[in-house]
Amino acid sequence: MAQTSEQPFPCSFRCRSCDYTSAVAKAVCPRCGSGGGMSPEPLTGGHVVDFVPVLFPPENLKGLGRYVSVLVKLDTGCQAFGVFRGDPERIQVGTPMVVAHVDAEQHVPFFDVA
Amino acid sequence: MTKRVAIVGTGMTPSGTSAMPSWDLFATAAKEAVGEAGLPLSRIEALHLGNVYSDFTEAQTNMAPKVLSAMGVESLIPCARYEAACASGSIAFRQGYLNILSGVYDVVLVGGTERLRAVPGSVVQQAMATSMDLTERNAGLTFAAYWAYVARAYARKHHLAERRLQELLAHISVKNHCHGAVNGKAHLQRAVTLEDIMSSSLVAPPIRVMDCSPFSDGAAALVLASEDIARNCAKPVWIAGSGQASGGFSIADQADLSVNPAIAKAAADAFRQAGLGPADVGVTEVHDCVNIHEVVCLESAGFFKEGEGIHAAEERRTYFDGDVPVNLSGGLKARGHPVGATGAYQLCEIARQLRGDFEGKRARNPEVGLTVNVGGTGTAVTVTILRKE
Repeated sequence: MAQTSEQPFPCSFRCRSCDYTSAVAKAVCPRCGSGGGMSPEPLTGGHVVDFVPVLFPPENLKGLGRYVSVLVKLDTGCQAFGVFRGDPERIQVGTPMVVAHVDAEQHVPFFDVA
Repeated sequence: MTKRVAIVGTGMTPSGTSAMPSWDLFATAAKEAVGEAGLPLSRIEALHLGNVYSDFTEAQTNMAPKVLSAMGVESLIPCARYEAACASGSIAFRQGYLNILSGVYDVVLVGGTERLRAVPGSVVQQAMATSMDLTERNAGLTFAAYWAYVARAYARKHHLAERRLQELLAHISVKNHCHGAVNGKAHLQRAVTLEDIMSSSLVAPPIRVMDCSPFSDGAAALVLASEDIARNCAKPVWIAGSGQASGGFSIADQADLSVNPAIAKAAADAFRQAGLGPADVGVTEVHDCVNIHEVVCLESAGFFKEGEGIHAAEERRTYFDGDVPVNLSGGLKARGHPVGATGAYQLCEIARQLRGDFEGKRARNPEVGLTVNVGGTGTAVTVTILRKE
């Protein structure tokens, strides 16, 4: 199920039957098996699960220069990747993060330290 | 239906940089395989081909019939191309195996081919990235970063400091280069030192350039036959078990990146079919696209307990003369990684180890061999067990 332009971006998805959440929408909930759909929820923030400095940006993100890939455990319950443009020394596992900015054209969520 | 299926012919081009297009590479490998089998080309009843990037790198789709044309096959046989990222070649092999096992065909040609080095490296990297989830790529995840997350998850779980982690991983690259240095078909035929690995540039810390396999051109082919036909061929190698599983596509949804449940399932299925366990295996080829993944493959398949596999190269257990010989071809690190063909190379190499005619480092009289071939970020997995008798 691809994201549609009507859904807030970035977002995570919550099963309408059982509260299962994922950063990727599913046609059938893998936890309860319901085909009743998943509701999009806007990302607000969470805390760092892990992070990796990306020294060689990919083609689609070349304009960023070096950045930090962050894996964030969201307040909505699931995990999602994003970009942190600050000094990696500023974050560690557990650092609270918020969605600071969204590049809607490239679909890039930028996190910052809360 | 046949009770058993055997590999009766193998063929491999050198892995590296080729002037030939991928379809001609496969035709070359197939000719060798058919020659080994001692069967006429007209005996082949179907082709199953692994190939991932020819549309990106060679502007050629519809690869399976293209390959038949390059081979000179005009017998109207069915053919199909499989794309499962780096697992394409072994999945093509498995489909051919199942064809014969089900009784539909008696002789099938399988394998894979890839040509990656005729275009700029940046083009190949973009192409390879497409096997990862688009949303996660847009969110800044790269393949190198993914492997860094895997390595960090492993280090955290098993209480390894970053420097110690990097040293242990470097030992794996040193081992695989040691093996690849004497494999005449390897892409990188040179030994390296621990210092060579540890001084190479960081790509996504803790992962360094020399932790990663090269992109390669190459093709590998195998002729599979039903038992009645195989018994009349020179040196059949029997397929004892074949497992396949799919891993979760969204990396953010994975509970533990240091293990791969899909590898565990595929291995369990293959071992159950074969009536064997890891202790019975005398030689393996596993998917070391990045050295941390050799550890994930071996632990997830049951060769080592979690947390112990990473020490195996430093302890020399996984060298050709160790108790668990791994990647005697040089692995993806030194033999190379012609993506759609890699799984087929592994199977050819294990078949030749069991036959005793592998040209390179040999295991000590193995009776049973095993391959682990993994696509993308662990999303497509095959485990294949071969045996001499």
